[in-house]
Amino acid sequence: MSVHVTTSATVVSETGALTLARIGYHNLARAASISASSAEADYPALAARNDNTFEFWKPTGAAATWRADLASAQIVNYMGVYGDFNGAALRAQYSTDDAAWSNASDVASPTGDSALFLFPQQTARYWRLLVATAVPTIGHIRFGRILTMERPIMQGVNPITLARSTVIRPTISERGQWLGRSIIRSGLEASYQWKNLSAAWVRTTFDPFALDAREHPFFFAWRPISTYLDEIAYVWTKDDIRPVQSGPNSLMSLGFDVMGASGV
Amino acid sequence: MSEEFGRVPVQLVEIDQDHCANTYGVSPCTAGRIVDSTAASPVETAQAGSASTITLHASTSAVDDAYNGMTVRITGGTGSGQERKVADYVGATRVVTVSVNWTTPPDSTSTYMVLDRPNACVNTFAACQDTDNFTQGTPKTIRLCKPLQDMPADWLAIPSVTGVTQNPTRINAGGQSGSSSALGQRGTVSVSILDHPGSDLRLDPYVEDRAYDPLDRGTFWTKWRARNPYYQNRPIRILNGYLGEALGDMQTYNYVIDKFSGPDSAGVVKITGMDLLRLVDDNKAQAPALSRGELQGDLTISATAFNIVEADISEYDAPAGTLRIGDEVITYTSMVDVAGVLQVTGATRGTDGTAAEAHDEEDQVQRCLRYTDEPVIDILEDLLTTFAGIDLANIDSVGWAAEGDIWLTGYELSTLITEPIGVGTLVKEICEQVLLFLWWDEREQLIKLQVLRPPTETPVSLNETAHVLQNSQNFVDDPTQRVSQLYIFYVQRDPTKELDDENNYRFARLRLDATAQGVNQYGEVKVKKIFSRWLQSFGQVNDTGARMLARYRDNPIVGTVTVDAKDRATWTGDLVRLTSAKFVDVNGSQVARQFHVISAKETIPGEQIQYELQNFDPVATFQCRYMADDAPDYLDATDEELALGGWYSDEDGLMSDGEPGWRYQ
Repeated sequence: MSVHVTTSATVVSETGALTLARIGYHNLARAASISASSAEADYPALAARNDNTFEFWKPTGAAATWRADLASAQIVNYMGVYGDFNGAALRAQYSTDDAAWSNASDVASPTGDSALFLFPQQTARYWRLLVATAVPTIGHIRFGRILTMERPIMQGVNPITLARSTVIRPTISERGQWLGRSIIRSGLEASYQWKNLSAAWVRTTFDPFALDAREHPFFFAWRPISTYLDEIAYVWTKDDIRPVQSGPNSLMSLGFDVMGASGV
Repeated sequence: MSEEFGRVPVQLVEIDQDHCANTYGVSPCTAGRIVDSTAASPVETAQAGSASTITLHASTSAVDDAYNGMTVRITGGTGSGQERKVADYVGATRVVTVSVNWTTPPDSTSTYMVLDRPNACVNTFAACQDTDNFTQGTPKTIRLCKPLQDMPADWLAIPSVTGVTQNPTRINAGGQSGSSSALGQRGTVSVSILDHPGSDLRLDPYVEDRAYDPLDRGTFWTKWRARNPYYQNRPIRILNGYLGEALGDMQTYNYVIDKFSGPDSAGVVKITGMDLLRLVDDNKAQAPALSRGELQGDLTISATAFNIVEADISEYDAPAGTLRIGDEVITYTSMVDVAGVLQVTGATRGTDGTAAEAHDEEDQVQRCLRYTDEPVIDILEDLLTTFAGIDLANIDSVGWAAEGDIWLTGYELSTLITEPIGVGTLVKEICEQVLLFLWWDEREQLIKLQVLRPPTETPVSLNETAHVLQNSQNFVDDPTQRVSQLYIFYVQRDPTKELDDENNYRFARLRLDATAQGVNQYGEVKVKKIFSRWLQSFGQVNDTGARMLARYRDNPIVGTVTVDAKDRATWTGDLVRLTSAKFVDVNGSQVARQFHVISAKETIPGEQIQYELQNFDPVATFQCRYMADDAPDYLDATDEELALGGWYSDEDGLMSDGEPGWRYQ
């Protein structure tokens, strides 16, 4: 899991300090026309447009592209990718004419199974993921506008990447000998809470995410500064998000529990 | 892998669904071909073409966008074999702009078809739009699994399985247990799956041509059910293994789909499967099959020729065979089909203990099934393959032959079956009367056979230190299986009479174990009656009686033990030797007991295996058979020859190596 920030000063000025959580829910690829430079049988390009994590796009070679035609120019400042990266180098690119391509992000070889690219916003109709050096197996790709939380999470965070839920089951013989041990793992779970959010922000900026989260997973990085760049995951809420009026000054608090997509 | 510390058990489900080998609209499939020109032919000649266009025939539609989303396929001439989706169509010019440029641009020599791919089938029979040309191809496999961290992408599995319950095959050795039929208990599997939106990727060959998003239409299983209504008897497999193991190395259990239900209000789908021996059930297979034929006219008591109508000659044996009309059995030497009328000549009336009688026009004429001195193995194979439709590849023919060659010599059976009887019933009779058992090995996909005979295999040793899990042993005596008196009625007088009519048999034999019935042992009589249409000789009856009483004179011990998955190589039909504190001699010392594994189940897949056992203690200390003249001397014999053969000992009762000799009983 890793967050990759391109030109952090611009990203900060456009979307806020990197101490603030980032939520990658906005997904322009969902309605886009998709194509890829190549795809192995049983691993079509369309599979990476789905939210699910059990259908995959896999190019036939190490140099490949996965392209989305948004039908009209749109502002994009993030790309989220979930899958088995296999050491591949990834990069977000954009084009206004589907011919000349420019780099939106720096190139990066993400670790783990989730990658979030934050970059200065660009406005373009065509967007693509450029793959190089190795063949990845990609479960999901999305482009859009990142949601930055209004306030940071201060304490009591359970980093999603460390929030394992594990069941261990041993087998013992009649005479007390150890015969075997099975590990049953159910994935990742974590909880996040925010306080003192302005009500206007919650209603206008946050609520579209709350609505979207009822149906779709999202990328979540709780504090994408250098110390916590690995703590990002592709997650989904377990229940509705219900903000609460928390004081007399039009402040609200909210929180949600998430489950994380486990490794590919 | 099963012995590794930190193993991660996994369970997958595979379902094979039918899949047409053809491509929609491509010969031989004629569906979806747009015929929109004055020539009224789906194939037309293009007017022109370029890297990104093709100009259709002048008489095609003049309506803009008429073919948008459809597919143009070049069928001949320049660029033949290419297909492209129509991105735009201008009616006035007949020019199609394709979504992706042609590799070889078409021209005026190119012929083409326009295919309505957005409305294509999904390559299943239920969705087929040209059923005359539907061609079964390689089945498409859907693979599902339980949700799993680190699920490998190359499984291509949907993590929607919420539960798998496997009820194993259970042997009924010799048909004695009252808890199941002589064919034992069928192995079944029940799979629960949570329904979800379906993308149709990998299931719909034309998903990229659709004008809708499959995720927005129906759910995975509602669509699957609509596309695959003929799911019964299609393969369903359970794979039990460990993360990191190749799918081909996992333990696979094979069934056929029996039922489908759901999705219910909670979105749960349930699919149940049964083992292949379900095809032997009486309501699915009968021998002989019901014959449709009827007499063309009245038949006098002495006539030796007559005609049969309303049937095909393939329903009867030709040229010679045996028929039943009413209560009379008739043999014939010739049957020929003359313009749909089956002409029977050379008839011998009132055979096989029946009496000749007159019959009326339209009386039913039933084919009879006759076996004459046939080996047991051949009869069973015939019943299962010819009448129950089981593929010969699913019969362990090599194992059957080996078992029959050694243990079933002298069991050549004869019978005449004059009416349709369930194959399951007939097989049960043979199992019970010859004392053998069949079971479906779901791992090897084979129907196996074993005779109730002294063991020749080396049993697998199990003990409480290294194998048996804590608190998992449970044994009981089963007095219902004990037999002390056996009545066998054999050689039917009239095969058209009731099987259990004692007066319909020429012979009856009683064999009893007076000692077992006596006051010093069980003190009661346990009678079993067998009415046999199969056994024909005193030798066969005597052998059956001796073996049955030897096996069931004492209350069988049945029970269960559970072992760790590291020992799961042992399976149904195997022999185990269990050393347990549950079994001691009269002085309290532990004794190892020998058991047949009559059922095996992965109670926790990949972790724990439960065996159901029935004791198998041979009466004789040694057993042997007469050997061929060229058999080796005792010291030169192999282990297998020692297990099956016999040699004379010296006058002290010892062999040349000091071992005790064989004792004749």
